[in-house]
Amino acid sequence: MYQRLTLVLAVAVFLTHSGCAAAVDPRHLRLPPPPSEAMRSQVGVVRITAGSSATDLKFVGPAKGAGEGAMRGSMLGGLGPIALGAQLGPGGVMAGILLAPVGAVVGAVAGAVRAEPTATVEEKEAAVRKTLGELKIQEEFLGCVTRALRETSPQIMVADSGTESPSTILEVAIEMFGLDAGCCINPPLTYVVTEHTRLLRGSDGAELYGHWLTYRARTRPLDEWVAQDGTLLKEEAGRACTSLAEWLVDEVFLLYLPTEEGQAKR
Amino acid sequence: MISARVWMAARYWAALLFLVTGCSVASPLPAAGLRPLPLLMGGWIRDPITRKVDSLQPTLQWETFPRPEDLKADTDGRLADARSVTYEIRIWRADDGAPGELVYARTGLAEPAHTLDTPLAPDTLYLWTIRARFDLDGQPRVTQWAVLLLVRSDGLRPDARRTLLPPSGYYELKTPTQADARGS
Repeated sequence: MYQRLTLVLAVAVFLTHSGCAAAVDPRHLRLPPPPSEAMRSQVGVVRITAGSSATDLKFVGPAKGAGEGAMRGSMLGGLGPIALGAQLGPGGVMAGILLAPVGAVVGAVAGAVRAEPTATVEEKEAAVRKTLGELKIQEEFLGCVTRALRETSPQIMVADSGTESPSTILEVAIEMFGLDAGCCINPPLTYVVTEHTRLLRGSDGAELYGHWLTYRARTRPLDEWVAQDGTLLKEEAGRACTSLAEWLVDEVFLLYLPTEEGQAKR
Repeated sequence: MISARVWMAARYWAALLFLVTGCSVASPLPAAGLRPLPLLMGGWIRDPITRKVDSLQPTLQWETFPRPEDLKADTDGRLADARSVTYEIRIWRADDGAPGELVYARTGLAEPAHTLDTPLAPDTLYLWTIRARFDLDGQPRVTQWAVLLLVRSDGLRPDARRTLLPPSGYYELKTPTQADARGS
């Protein structure tokens, strides 16, 4: 028990000091129960619209140059012995604290050596940002959701923009997308997309239901994401668009959970 | 006197036997959605998570929907009126333990069993899942995709309602080598 506690504390210290910790909204971690059957029966004609929130383009990549590599390396090298020592108990933590300065120096040297030159990383980052920018992700996602809704839920009447007044508005927005990585010197990166969906009453705009979904692809080295004019990145973005849209439509219009959780709002 | 001692010893061993067998009784592994058959059992000796099949076109079976537990949990009693139940199956090639390329998908399966109509690759790990599609008061509905709820490598509590895609916990399926495949 004590070992586990010290390990958790060490990891927490490591994360907060390495700048990787961020406040996480619990609604981003767990889906709410799907809309109740009573709510679904009131849906009527649906208009799909893009949310107004800005899309955050994320790029957390490798260390840029020897300086940043040394900083990241010293952080990892300094906190690594404490985290490892925590697994051995209180003595291990103390030994880890004593070894931390040595680890920091070794880590700094290793980080400085392993980091790619700033210009190289910035060139790759620019290529990634260009590919991501060309995706027109918000419009693409709106298209994916419309297709998924028409294919899997033919009972739902989708309003053509401007021609019919909808009884319900399905507002979808890509809040964040890009490449994300852990806190290493030259870590592999993951393509990640977070969408936010809200079901709004057409008459007064009141929110009836809302959820977030995040898609995380497998991790790859930055070089692979950049190669061939970002082909892998474009393919992964297409897969993410389809998966998120399909899951979104299932949650809002189709999923029936015959469990205590599903009954919560029914 | 002797009989009292024998009686005490017998009670002791009986209690021990009860505890041991009580603790080791196998129960199905925690899961969400319909479960593949035969059920994966936990307990002292847990079934391997990866199910090895003996054919490149295996027959996969799962629970019939709605299950007694679904009807019990459905306090509104709506599921009793579920009509036109069919099943959907998806199989992905495993890629570092996560679903990679989707290699097989079928919808509208009338029975809770399916023999693949195209062969899988030999000696390969796949992930698969199923769900039911049905009509409720004339409206199409689906169950959640089937997943195992095992403690994850990152230590997070297993939860079928996590917001992260693709979900972890799809069922694992390992195909035989070409030489070992039945009918080869």
